[in-house]
Amino acid sequence: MVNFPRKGVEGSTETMLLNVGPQHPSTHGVLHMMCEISGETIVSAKPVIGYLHRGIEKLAESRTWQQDIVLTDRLDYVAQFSNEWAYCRAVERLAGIEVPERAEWLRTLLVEMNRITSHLIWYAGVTMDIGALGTPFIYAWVARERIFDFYEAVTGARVMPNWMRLGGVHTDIDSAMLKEMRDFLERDFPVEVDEYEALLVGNEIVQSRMKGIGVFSAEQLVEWGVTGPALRASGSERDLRKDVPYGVYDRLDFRVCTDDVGDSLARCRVRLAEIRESARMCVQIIDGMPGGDVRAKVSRALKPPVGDVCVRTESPRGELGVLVASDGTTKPLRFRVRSPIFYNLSAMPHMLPNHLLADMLVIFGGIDTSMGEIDR
Amino acid sequence: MGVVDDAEQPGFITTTLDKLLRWGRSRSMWPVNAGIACCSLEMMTTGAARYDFDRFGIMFRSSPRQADVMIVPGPITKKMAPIVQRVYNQMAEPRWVIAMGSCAISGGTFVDSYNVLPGAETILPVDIYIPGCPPRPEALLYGCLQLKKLISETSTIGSSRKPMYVPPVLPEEWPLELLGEYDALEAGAVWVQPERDSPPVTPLGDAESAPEDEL
Amino acid sequence: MTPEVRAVLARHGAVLDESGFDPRADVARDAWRACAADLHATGARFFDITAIDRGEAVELVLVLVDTPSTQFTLRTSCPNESLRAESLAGVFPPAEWGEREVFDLFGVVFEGNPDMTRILQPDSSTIHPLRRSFELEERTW
Repeated sequence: MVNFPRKGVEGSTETMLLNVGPQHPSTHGVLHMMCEISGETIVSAKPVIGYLHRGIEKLAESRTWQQDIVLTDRLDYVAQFSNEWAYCRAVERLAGIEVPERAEWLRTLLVEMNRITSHLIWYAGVTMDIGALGTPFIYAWVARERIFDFYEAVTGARVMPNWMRLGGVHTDIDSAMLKEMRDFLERDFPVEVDEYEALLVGNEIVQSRMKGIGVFSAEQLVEWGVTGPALRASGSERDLRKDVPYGVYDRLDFRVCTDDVGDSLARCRVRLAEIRESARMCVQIIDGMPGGDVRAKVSRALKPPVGDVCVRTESPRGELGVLVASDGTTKPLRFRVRSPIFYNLSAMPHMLPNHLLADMLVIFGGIDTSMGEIDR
Repeated sequence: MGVVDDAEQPGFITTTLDKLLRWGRSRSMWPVNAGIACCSLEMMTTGAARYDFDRFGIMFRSSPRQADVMIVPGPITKKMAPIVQRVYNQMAEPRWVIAMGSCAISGGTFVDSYNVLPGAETILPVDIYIPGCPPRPEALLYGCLQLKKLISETSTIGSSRKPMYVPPVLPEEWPLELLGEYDALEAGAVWVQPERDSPPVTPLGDAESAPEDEL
Repeated sequence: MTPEVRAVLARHGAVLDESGFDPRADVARDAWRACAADLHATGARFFDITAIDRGEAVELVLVLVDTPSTQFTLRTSCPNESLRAESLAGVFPPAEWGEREVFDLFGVVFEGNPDMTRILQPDSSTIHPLRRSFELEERTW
């Protein structure tokens, strides 16, 4: 039994316990949200997680350092490249592996494209949750499928690429493919995004459902451990791509997308702005791509020196941290994923009270969950 | 099916009820919208514009009560297993199960793990297996067409109704969840109405405080 | 690492080691919560709480971000005989879930955590899988 004591409301009738999930079309996976409601108002809430706990952290300890990249894909299956990169950066830092210049550019390119597809899935999900069944969902998939064609041509797989390696990437991208990506991202894609934005932010029903719902200040969100676009929509400038530049972010011209309103609509605007900004960055990366090798020589039986390192990266959902500890053998001593949504979701009990039950999914869509990374 | 070729009574066909039902069921498979893990992304892709599930009459339903096919798109963990089983038992009869992806077939990448079941078949009667990690949308479409073939070839009339599926080896960690008296018959158990957490009912008028002359 | 953080760490008798990738500070288990509370007062931001099994002891690792671009870890060690520590849930609210996860996977009990129950595994589970002593079963095929 889940420990969920009811708070109750003074001077009111008895409150009711409502379970949302684990099998629910709007929880984006297998989240179980327990809500104590008084009428239509949420009195207290508690997310119950663990329905997709596959034990990846333990499995990683029984595989070699190279083999673990397969598992990182399956952590956050919506932002696969971000996970791979976070893990590879951590191990490369621990083992002192130099990554070739071109590989860094290629990694940044695919991770930024991944940010676009991840936000498109958020777009499809959040509009479905508030009742726009079908149209925005199918629209979002149009651009997403185009980008997935590029993933497939580059990595050979659609969803689970397993493309990055310690010390570089597995396959190079030829110039014809780069040109095709550039054409799409510069010419066709902005037109699509205009349409998406008009459908979501320009829609009167969406505005009335989202404007002024779930307003939180940046101080509150930092205190609750929220990171990523949800925090930036409240005016914070926290973005690890600027704060701790990695990859080739220090050589790109981009701005941190923020909004100072802090409600659910602001979180939508920030994500849509990030989609545009990522597309712009991809074009810059393709223009500035240097030549050279894409993979350094790394031993298959890699033995990083004894020690541990924690690396922070900016995934589409927030600050993704990977802590790896080595005891000098071919297998990791500890592989820990600091999942951004795990801590974003832990703020839900603070965020939801005093909101209407119908607004739960709107606030919930604002933090953009992916259960694979929460449960690991 | 045969069309009655009679000028005086046009528009009649002769068939058996069984054939008609099989024809109808195989062309309107409604899967329950239960996304578990990574494969659910490809499941959604198959439902979206490019691959378009709807042209086969396959439409996702959010409630298991309206669905007759369950696509299991991901690994079933020990915590999730009773819920998957419950969703299956809530679906309307007759029902079918598609195991999508290596995790649902055998546990896949996570087969070694301490918290993952070795495949959906440990708790559900699986009809179609679609390999891949995750399977491409075309593979899922092909699997669904195979299921369509299976449904149109299987008679469901007169067969003994199975209100509840009892796995051959009952897992020890959780008891089989009985949803009603009928399920208990199948599982060979005694159905006990569970106690509901309901608010105490207080009578509107208090009998003792009421004035006597009105009684 | 900011001077305020250094002052707090020195006040709680932390052993500072800056030879690794990130600065690490080892404190005694008694000073764990007090030190974290003082670090919170200097403006350090919570990033993560986790643990590493070192065989004879479980090392708790608290990753904190002091300036936007720098981070450091605060560590303490729980010997296998007494896997207990004071909870930081009152200091950093997100630590509540992080501690529940450490309890679930390592078995370290955090005193003062409002909900010290399993978070990832089912309640019926009896194992703490990330301990070195727990070994995965051989696959049978």
